[in-house]
Amino acid sequence: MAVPQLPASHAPIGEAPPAPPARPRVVAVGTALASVGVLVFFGGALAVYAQIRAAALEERATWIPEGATLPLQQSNVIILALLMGSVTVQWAVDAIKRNDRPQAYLALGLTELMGFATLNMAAYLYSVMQLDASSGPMAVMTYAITGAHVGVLVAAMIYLALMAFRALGGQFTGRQHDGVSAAAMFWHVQVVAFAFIWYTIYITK
Amino acid sequence: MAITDTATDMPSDTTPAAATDTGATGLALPAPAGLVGVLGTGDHKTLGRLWIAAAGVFGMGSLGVLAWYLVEASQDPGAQTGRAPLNLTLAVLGLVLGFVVPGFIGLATAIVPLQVGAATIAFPRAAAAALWAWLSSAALLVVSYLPALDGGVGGGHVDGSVLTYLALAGLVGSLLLGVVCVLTTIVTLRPAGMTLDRIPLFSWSMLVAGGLWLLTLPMLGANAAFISVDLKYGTPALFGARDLQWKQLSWMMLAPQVFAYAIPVLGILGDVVTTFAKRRLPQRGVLLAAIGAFGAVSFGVYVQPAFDRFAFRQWAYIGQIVILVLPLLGVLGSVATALRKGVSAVTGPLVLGLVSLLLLVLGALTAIPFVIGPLGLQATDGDLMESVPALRAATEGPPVYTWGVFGIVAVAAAAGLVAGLFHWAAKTTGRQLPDSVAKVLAPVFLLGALAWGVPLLVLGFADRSDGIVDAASVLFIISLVGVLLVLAAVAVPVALTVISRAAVIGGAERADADPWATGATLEWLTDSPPAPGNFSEPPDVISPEPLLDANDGGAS
Repeated sequence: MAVPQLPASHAPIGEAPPAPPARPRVVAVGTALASVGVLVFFGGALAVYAQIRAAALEERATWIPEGATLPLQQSNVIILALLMGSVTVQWAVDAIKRNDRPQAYLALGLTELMGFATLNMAAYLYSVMQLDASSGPMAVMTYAITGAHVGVLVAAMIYLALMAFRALGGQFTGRQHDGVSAAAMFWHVQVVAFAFIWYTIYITK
Repeated sequence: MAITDTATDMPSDTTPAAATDTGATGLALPAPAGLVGVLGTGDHKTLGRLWIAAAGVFGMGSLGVLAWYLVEASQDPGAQTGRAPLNLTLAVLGLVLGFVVPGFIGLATAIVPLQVGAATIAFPRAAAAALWAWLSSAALLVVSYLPALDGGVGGGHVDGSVLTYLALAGLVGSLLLGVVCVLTTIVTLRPAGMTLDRIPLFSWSMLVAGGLWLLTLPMLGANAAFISVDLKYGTPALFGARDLQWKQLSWMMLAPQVFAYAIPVLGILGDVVTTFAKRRLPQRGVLLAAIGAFGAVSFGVYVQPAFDRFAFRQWAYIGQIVILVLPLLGVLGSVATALRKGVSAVTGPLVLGLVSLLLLVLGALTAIPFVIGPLGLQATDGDLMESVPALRAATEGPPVYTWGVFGIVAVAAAAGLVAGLFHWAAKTTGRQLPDSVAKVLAPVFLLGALAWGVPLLVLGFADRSDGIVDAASVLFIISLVGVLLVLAAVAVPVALTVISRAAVIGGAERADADPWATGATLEWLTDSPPAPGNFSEPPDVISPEPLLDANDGGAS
């Protein structure tokens, strides 16, 4: 007697389909390597800043030019905004992993908002510092380092926006979320970079 | 396709008729041919060829500028112009960021995906962007040095100099982007079975070198940012002062950092020996460890004489310079062991690679006296600078002795690069280059390195003998001869590569997949030059020499 064949949708359960081949995390690895370069840039720049400041203080020279200030309020707001962005971007990664697209879009949008808030506060901080770029090496380094961070922040925002558009296009799922994860990693890296800037330039002055 | 995508079907210019691009619509479209195809390509073989050709041109240009400087330095003080130091800085930047590093990145872009069994390089569009951004930045660097703009490192015009630093930042950024593509390929696109300790030695050396470049070269970007902000908006006082600019960048050409640019040489030599050894490479683990250790001791970004007047007296620095030669001796020992067991042929790339290694050992040995304080090599003699004004600004930071070490290491890197060009010519161009030419070039590189470097080393001892100061002109002329020899030795393989490629495009017969007939690693499994996708199916790897597995069936 012929054994009746079950349709595919009624195949007996118990034999799991073969696991998909492990996908190389190309975007994540590439972003991690680029992040190393970013951190070395800020690490090197801040090391020079600290070295020159130490030499100046040893000679009892004035470090912060007369009339200039390095206010903490604005830099504190910046670090808080960036940290909140870290939370929201991780929320986006988690939402993508759960295939919860509305929450992912909301979280990515909020992260971009934190980025814009940071840019806004950085511009305000520049205006209240009263720091003339021609007033000495401290001013030159402060503008070079914080300006470079603004550039990296903009790059992180563009990276996130690109990944958000690709998510809108349906390219990322719970099993394929490398792009958003990588962009989130880059965001975290620039937050770490600013944390060092915040401590070296604004806290220890 | 986004810049972050890594497709497996990137069109290649090697088989234009077969290459297609399915695009967003899913319809098969013919890949653009000719110049448009080259400009828009993401094919790693084409990109590698472009990197190599352009780096060769910039290398020759840089050597030409260096020769010009040496001609001027050998003349009477009155005949030396204020632009001489500018020529020297352009030559150094050109040799490092326009020739050696991009040359290795180009070779790696073409060869590494083949070695690790990948269908393409990771981020092909980013790899293309890196090439074109580097090319644009290099052109901008040259333009900024033109007398009309009066820019350059320590140049007379602010806007011209700012342009120089913009170009410098662009060079560093684009080179690092290229490095990221190569390293990501090595890390993520290996087939199953190819563990990191099984990757070919050139790929391993690129992993070490690229990692080190990522850990050091961004500092050049930071230097450029400080100087350009000071120039544009500052007084300028510390960073932008004309005499101090070169001092801030000089760490890039001092030992041990200068050795970081030559790390891939060790991998090239290792792969050449692997190809011609009659059996599996003995002591392969030693080679891997030695290359890694050489990378570790080449880390030199912390030696910043512009910001630390005791930079050359740090014990860590002194120790690092002294042990620099040890990993090289490890490589030398492993290679000697392999050679003693016999090789199938003594080829040009093998001879070139050995010359390159010997020059690296010589460079490491000559770096040691520099850290011995009583020898007085850490500053250029005052009388010498009096008689050679061209030395004054140029040796702020890097004393004249270090120029000799730099010359020897630069030639070692160039010889290693040329060895790689000859060894993998079938993969990069489609045809073998004449092996006899490589054998002739090897002694030319050796003589060139000695003639270029040794006179500058001797000038470092000028404070010990007035005779050396008196003989400065002769020493500069000998150095000039060395630079011209190296220039010729670089020009020949670059020209041969271009001619060979043109011949293949013109329909000349192509080389076999394994023209040496003794290939052991995956690149010798593919056509010459490889077809799009490189491999018809993912290769199986159970040992570091996959092509030998079929013969002896043994994995190591």
